[in-house]
Amino acid sequence: MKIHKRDIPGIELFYLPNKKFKTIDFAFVFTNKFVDEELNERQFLTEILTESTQKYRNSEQMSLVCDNLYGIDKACSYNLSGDVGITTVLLRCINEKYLDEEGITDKALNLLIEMIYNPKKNKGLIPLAAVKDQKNQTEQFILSIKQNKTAYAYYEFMKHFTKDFEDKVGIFPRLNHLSKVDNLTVTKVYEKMIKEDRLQIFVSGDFDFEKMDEFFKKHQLKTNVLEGFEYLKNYGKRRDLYEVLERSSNGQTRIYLGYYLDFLPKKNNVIAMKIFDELFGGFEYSRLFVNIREKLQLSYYVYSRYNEDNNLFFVGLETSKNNAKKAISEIDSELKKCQQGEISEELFLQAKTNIIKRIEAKKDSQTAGLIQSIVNFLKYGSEYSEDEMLRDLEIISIDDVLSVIRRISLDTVYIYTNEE
Amino acid sequence: MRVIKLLSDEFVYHEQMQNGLNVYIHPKNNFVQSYASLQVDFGGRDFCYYLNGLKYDLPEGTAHFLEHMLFENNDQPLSEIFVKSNAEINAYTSRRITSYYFSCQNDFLMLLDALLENFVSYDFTDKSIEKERKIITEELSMNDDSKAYKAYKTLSAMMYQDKSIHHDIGGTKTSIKAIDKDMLCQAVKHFYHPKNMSLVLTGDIDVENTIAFLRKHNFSNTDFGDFISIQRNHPRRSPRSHKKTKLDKDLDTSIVEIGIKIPDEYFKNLNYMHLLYSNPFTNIFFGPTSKIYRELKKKNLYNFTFSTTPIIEDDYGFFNISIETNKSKQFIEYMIKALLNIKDELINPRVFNAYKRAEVGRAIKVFDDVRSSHSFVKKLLINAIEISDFMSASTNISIKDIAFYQNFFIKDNIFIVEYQK
Repeated sequence: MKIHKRDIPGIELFYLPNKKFKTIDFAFVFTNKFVDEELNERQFLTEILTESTQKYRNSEQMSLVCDNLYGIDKACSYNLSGDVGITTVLLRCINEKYLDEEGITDKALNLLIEMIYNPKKNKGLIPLAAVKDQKNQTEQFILSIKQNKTAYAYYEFMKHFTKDFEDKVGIFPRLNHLSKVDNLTVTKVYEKMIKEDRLQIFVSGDFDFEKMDEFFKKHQLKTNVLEGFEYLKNYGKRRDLYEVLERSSNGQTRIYLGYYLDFLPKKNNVIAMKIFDELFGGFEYSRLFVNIREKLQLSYYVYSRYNEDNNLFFVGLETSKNNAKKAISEIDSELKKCQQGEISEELFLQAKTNIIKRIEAKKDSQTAGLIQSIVNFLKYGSEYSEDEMLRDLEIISIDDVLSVIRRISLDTVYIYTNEE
Repeated sequence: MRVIKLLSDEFVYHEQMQNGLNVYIHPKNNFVQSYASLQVDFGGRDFCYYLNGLKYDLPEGTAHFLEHMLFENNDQPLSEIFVKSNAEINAYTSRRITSYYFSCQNDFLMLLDALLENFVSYDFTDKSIEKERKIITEELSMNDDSKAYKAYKTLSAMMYQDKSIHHDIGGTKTSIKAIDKDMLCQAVKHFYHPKNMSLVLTGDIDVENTIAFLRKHNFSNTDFGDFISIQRNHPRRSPRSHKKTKLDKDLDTSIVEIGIKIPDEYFKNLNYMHLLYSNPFTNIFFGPTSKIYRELKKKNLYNFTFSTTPIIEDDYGFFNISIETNKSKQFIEYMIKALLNIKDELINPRVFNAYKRAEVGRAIKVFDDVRSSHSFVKKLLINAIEISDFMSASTNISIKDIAFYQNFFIKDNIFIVEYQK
């Protein structure tokens, strides 16, 4: 989608117009340098802000007002990209062109402003009850993860994989800071978000630009231009192979292999790595699927994942205990073959085309297209259009992929198996 | 051709092919992705069925096994042509159906051709049967250590003494050992007939061209013989107990599963009613505007794992409530009282009217997305619901319609499973 920057003093406002969808999406994006000690508070705020406000004092009232506005969807998330913490508050409403009622868009936007700038407070503080509730939910979350063996294995693997830089990757919850969280700390982080974070506002849909400008001018929102942090960073460093074996009472064996990537996540490296991720373990004709599952029947479920936000790459699978060693050895062998250049032109082109198709498929969802535009905009400082993305993808060759994957080495082996 | 109106600018076109296949096309112009799915009325429950009064048996898990085999039919990997066109193909088996579906951005008719061609004739090699048996064995193991899954299965087994409801759709490692080529062929012969199938297409599709293409296709012109209607009769005995507690030292947090049964007699030809009314009922009595939600929060018994879902099929249904909590005793104690009070509660018209407005919005949003449009139309078809009836009825729901369910909240219909830590 094409991004139009609006000329409104004091705020960074962008419109992504389209006539294809029947909804209007709003995104308020707050960014600041990531601070590990604030991670819990930032995550808590994503729930607290959307649950109630000064005007809509509990979830019942909030739910009613959203229902009455023809089923508004609202969401808030906190993510990391490199050095940067990003809070995104999203709201989607029906375009009133498709309703027999006017004023819905204004009311929806007022609700969004209310959620962000007028949270429920007692004597100037986020209520203690709300914070306690979030802490209880977090405790339950930890217990629920432990109970779900697949989720637990992944969570434990990530803890071990990132233990040398865990204060930089933002895995929630940060247990060592959790006891210090109270309504004072949450209020402080909230106020920092409002007063210090950079705010960028994105609106996508079919609407009148001038009317929308007037709305934002009326609210006198403010952004803060911040500099000095990077979206693209590499935290890992080479270390001796780190092996972890954990046991449970029964069930499948879960294995995760974490890899060290000896390169910075610059644009071309990221694109090359994404292509490799796809051809290695991203679809049903990938190396892992064809060899580990179909040929050797070692696993029903095997995949690779590359996270470009923190430049982490790993392989995951579930298998029986008897097959574990063989599966690890076969995955290692597949990676080595790729590093030695055994990647067919056909598979490489297939992987590339898959990624291209996925980018194009985002045109079918206004929200997905909006989020992609925001992510690219934040990372590359300006609009990174779909055409540019596709062009950058097209020029990557097998040699570019090889040059990147030859700097991959096994870092962490995590096995969660049974005691039988 | 029949034209069915969904919204003022959304239509579904229905045509029946000469061999009995029902085709539904929902054109959505200017969307990049197109979706196609072929449904077969053959699922996990069909380990026992009747044709002309004669009983036939199949090992449990046959429908799911056959789903895997259809990707290796005639020793040709079905995925290959789809992957080459950068399309995604997949399938799933539920209790009632098997669905083969793909999505693509290009070559839609070519891929539709490949999909349908795969169902013209059938042959499975012993080698591919053994290969899939191993893969499915691994797949079945994936739920072995899921306590939440086991608790839910315990609840449905307690409520319905009917294997077709609570047994695993994929069968067991033992039952799939008994599946051989003869059984797969039996299943194909009895179930994989165009009169027992439906095709749903959604996307930037030319309706006339597509129908003409389908009329000429090998699949539409193949004689599959007479189709004999399938009867199903799974014996259902009365429940023996209403509460089960299991101690499990491996749990980190207790699990509670509650079921409120809708009596079986309310499932004769009333399926569409349940699909219409069960969601608003669940939302109003258990959602954020409800008394139960408020009180759970006040008593600190609510957490994010709390969920309420209506489980509705053509021949049974219940309201399912689940939670993972270490306050399982207090939760159960509260919920029993609250559930028994439901039949006397009055539905707040303000809440109901707000819900109806939200439903208008939800309907618009469903059709704003190709995938959700496709799933919506498919869901109605799988449940044999007339789309136009459903659309007009959904805008006219009244409080009286959903209040109907309140009468079922009596002791005899409430079942509780507690997996205690």
